[in-house]
Amino acid sequence: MRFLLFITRLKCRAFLQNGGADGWMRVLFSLLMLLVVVFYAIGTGYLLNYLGGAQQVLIFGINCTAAAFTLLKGYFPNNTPFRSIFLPVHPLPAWRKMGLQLVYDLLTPFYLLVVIFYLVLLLTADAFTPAALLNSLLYLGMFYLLERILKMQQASRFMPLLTVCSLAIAAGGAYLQWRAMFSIYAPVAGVLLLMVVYSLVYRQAARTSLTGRRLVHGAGVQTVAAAFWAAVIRRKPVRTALVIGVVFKLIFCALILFTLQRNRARFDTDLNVLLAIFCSPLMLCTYLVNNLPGYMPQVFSKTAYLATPGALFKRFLRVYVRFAVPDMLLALGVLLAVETSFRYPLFLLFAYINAAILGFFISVLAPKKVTKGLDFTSFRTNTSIAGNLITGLFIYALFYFSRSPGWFFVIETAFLIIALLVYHFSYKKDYDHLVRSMTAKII
Amino acid sequence: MEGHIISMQGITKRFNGKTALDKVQFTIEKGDSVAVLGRNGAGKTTLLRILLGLLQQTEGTVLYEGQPQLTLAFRKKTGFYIGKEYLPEELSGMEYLQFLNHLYNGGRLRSDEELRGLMDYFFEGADAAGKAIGAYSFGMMQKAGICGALVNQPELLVLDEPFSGLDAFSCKKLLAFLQQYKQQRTLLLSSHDLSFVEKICNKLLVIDAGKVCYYNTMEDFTVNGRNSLEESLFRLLYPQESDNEKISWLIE
Repeated sequence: MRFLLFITRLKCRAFLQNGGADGWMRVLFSLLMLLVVVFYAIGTGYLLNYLGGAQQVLIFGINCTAAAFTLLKGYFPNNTPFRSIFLPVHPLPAWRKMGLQLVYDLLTPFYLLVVIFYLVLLLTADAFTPAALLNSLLYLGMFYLLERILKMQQASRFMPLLTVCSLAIAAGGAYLQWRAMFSIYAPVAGVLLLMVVYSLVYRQAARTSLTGRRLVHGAGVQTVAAAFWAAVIRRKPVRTALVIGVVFKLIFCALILFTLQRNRARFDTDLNVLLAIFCSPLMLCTYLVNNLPGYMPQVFSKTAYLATPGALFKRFLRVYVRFAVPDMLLALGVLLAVETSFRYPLFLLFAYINAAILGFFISVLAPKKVTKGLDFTSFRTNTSIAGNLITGLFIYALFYFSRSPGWFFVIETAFLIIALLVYHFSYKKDYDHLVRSMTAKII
Repeated sequence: MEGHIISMQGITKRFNGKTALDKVQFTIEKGDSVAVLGRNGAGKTTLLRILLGLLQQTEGTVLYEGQPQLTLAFRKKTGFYIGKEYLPEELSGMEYLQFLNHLYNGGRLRSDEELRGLMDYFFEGADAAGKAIGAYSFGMMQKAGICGALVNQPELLVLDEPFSGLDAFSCKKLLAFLQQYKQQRTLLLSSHDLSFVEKICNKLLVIDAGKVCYYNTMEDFTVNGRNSLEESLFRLLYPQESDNEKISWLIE
């Protein structure tokens, strides 16, 4: 309790910034924000009362928005990471440290405003029952934990704890609103499981060298992706490709099969986003390929320095194919297990080709260094955010239009023409400039 | 132009409007061993980076054997080490050399034994080949970087402060190596260690505030050895009287 009061005082003091003019502006701004949130919640509440059957959709939308803000909030530079003071210094059990961190994190204007919003909604909307409130808070909590996991890369011993918490929340949420929310809970739970696998692979890869000897702790591989790329340079492609395949596909493939079994009727409607994401190279590209130079900047810039533009692209493709083939075969297996249709193999083929081209251009034309340990989905760099969005949207569009072959091929042709133009005018022509700017930016 | 391996013509570099190099002009002949000297922040590393094509100059051109230097041939014939930030921390020393060897000529340039021999010479038995570069000390990183610069048996070797961070024994080994190396190839190095510079280089390029103050032979600079290099350099860069008054003021 004393600690809670201490943190509250600390937070208030930081919020007011010693009572200067800036501090009072903040207070005024926060009061205005509070008013906006309250009015917005009242408005949403009344809207909910008049929506009839579509109430659940709006509640789901509100939850998704809160979740998106929670994740987004984590990537503002002044967002407090797991305070190092809580982690190594105090000889407390991990659960208590987590509790302290939770208090520290939740005592922020953002979470207070979100809670106020939900409470006002509870008072004004009939459809927003206490069960719905509980579900919304669970949903928020799960994304809070996810954001924390993404943020606290180095503290690997906390990961299993946080994952267990998140899975428990996911299970609770799924129990409360099984059918409506399962399609969201399942992938998030998958992401959390993936984080644990990542951390294990990372730790293993970071500590062993070519000769199989342990490296000095803390040295060596800086990021998970760098561990994989280091394995590629060490010419261990088969083992690496298998690890990648297992990590990136199997867990999600199992999830997809399970989800589809339960929701067969919605296979071609609500679930097609999931299908497009997980049965495509999106996970692979999102993590490993977009912003490739960022993971091992020294290796990539040296390669670019000593290769012609075409040779660099060829080298990239050679590595990409090693990873993509097992990934693609797994995806194909899953797709054919669910439905035998010619459009899926066609989609897969083009999705993998397009993702390779997109990934290459994104990573080469806008490289950015990655320095943190567990950079899941590499959200930290602008390159990756932009790259992931473009790749994701494009793959989904391709999946969507795979139903109408005419449109599918029009989009594909347009994409390939644009890619060729970019290759010729932006990449090949400006290659030397590109190498220099890459070196300057990422080293 | 004949005999010129490098020719820098009117090189100017500005960072956000601030001039780091101002119309730098000089040529390096084949077989020269040139030392780039100057105070901290004078523009030495910037100059080396521009020469290597790692940094875009604002104005001017760099020629390699009479042609613009941004060719693959230039890059493959040049070896450089200009800072530990260019070393991949994820790889071990030996893996780094193997990777470079593969890059330069698909691995055919040097055998693994040769690479190990290169490492053994500089690391002198220290178990560095299988250790991640990220776990190296600063001096070991310097040595790994220098080994990396030598993988392709370069015609032009560019080193930025190669002696800094090295122990006395390693300095002696590097000195012996460079003294032999300069007999057959071209060398360009920046250093603050004047005793080593004196033993290795035949030409000096002194830069101050982005401008070339001096570019000629070592003999000319030291008036045929009558003055020491240190003395001559101080005379050029610090023409004022001693700082004794300032030092007394600082101490008091």
